[in-house]
Amino acid sequence: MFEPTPVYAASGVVYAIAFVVFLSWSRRLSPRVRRMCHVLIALVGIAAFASVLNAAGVGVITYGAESENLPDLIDDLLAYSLLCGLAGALAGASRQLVATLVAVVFLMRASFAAATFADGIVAIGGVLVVIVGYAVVVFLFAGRVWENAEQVSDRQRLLHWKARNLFLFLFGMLIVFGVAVFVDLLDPFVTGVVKNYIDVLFRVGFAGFLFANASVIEDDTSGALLAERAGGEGGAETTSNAAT
Amino acid sequence: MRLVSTIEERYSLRVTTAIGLTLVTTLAFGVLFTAYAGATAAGAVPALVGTLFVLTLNMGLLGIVLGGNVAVEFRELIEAAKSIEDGDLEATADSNRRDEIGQLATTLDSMRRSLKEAFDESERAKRAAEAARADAESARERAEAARAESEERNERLLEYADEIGTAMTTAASGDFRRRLSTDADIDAVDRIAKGYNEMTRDLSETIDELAAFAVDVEATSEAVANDATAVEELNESLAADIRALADDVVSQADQLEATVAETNDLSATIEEVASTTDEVADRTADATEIGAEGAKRVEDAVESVQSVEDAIDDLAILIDELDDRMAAVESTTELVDDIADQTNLLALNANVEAARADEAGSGFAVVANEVKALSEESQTAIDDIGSIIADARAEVDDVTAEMATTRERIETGVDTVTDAGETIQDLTETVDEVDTAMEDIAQATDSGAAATEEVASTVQSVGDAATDVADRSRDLADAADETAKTMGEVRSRAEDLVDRTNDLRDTLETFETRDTTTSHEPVGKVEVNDV
Repeated sequence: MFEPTPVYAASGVVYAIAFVVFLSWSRRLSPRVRRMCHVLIALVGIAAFASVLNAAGVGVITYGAESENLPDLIDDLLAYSLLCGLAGALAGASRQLVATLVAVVFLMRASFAAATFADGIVAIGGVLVVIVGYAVVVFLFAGRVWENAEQVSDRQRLLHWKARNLFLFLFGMLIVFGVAVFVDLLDPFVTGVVKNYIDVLFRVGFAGFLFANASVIEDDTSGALLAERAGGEGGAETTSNAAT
Repeated sequence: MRLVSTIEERYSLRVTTAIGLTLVTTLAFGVLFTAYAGATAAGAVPALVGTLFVLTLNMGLLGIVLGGNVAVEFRELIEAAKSIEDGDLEATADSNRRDEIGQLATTLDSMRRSLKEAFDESERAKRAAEAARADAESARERAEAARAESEERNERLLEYADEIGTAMTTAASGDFRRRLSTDADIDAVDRIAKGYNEMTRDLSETIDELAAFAVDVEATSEAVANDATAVEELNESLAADIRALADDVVSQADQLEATVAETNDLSATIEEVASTTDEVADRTADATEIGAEGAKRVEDAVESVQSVEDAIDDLAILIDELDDRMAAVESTTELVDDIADQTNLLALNANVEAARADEAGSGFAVVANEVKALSEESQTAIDDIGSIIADARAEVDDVTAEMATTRERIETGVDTVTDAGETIQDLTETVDEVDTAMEDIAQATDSGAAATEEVASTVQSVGDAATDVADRSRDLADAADETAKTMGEVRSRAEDLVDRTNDLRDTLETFETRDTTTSHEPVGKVEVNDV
């Protein structure tokens, strides 16, 4: 009963339901914002697919006593990086700065995966990369990204502020969770449950948050730029809802 | 949707909902991990760590989602409140939230606006008070200077007041000839003096005008009294005339009422005539139909008589032919009679001859006797036939003569019946004309009845109007009497006015007025002088 497979299956069901809900929700949004929302929907869809593969035991990489789910790894690399980039883009950050954020998060997740299979200094180095990378992300968000955020409207800045805090908290908790796993405080079942829960919050919660505040992106010029960066061409429809 | 809307509008409800969901989620994970710890020997620590981790995660998320929003909103509210506390009443805490925080921001902004209005009002009041205080100070200084000046002027005023009082006393006794000087350098005194001078001058003019006016009033009152007397008499006469006129009008109204009654009778009679005319017209229509039927029957009779006449003509032709046949038979009988005579002669000769032959001729003599008897019988029969034919011809002649007479009578009857038919036709046409005339008479009678009723109604209206005129004439006569009475009062008052005017003239003659043809303003120092 207490096996990882039902957990992944349950996650897959949650992702599938969220995928349908978000897809239906996106049809009520303007085409400009819908492009950005499609990115979030795609992340949820990829997570659903990865959960199915994980539940089926497909893509498991074993090295020595350690193992890693390849679909899960790919899903994490895409989700964490893109969500961090979106949080930065909400502040109106430059493409270069957004790319930097994406790269650092990507490197952090990859280093953690490497640390999983390594021992000794390499493993510690991987963990350090994760910690330092988190510090760099916090530094960038509090520094240059926030400088950009001060150039956008109040509502857009507030939205970025909330998205940034949500991302940093979830990612920080994810690091804490990783360290706990790294020091064998958790067994595979509990690890699988907590990891899937964090992933659901990361993807579904983050997507729901941005969907609920899509009107802010529709109304503001910087939001239009964000939408164009995330999904290409944007529309011109606006609404008057406020960021909540 | 209503639940979602309610949650959006109530922050406390939103917080409660979020906390509830978080607790439920945490409890679900706790139950799951507890079950897992119970099922596995080494799962207690991981389950505990996992539960704590989920708890921490959920609490953190709850804090970020709720606390972040609240912190931002409250920070803005606090900044706005501090700005207001520091005196910046332009600082606003706008919030588009619909929950309690939004209401708090709205209330704070309303409070800010109220404070701003209060401060503005206070500032305006402060400025007004300062201005008033400055004005009061200036006024106080001007008042002190004015008081010193007024004390000096008071003394002078007392002197002028005495002079003015003396002049006023003189004026009060009816002497308006005094005049005050107007160069006292005190504006009020000068104005009083000027006003006194103008007053005495105007009063002089007024009294003079009053005296002249009194003369005019007296004359006018007398004229009014005379006119009033004339009008009074005229009105009395007018009232009498109007009453006579009213009586005449009443008489005419009575006559009109009688006329109305007669007209109504005439209208009833005309209506009866109309009814009778309608009845006659109906009878005439019946007579027309009967006449038409009679004419038709006359025509049928003429046709029948003419057919009898034709039959008689045919019978006459047959009788003529019978007469001709009788003549032929008569000639034939004559021939037979001749033959019988010759036969008898032959029989006689045969007897003679038989006698001559003796016995040989005895048979022959028998035959000759028989022939002779036959001849004699034939002669007798012929004679009978001739007699019968003669009788028949005589009867035929009688019949022919009778038929000629009958034909004449028939022709006479035909003529008579034809004349009767023509007479009936003429009578029918006459009856038609009479019917048409009766219809015209009926219509004319109806119209006449309606016109008569209308005349009666009109006469009735005229009668009513005449009665109304009579009533109004009486009222007018009463009004004329009232006018005459009033004019009598006017006359009395005019005479009283004449008396009062005389009294006024006597009173006005007690005033000593100024000669208003000279200059109004005196020249020289301040003094009271006689003119």
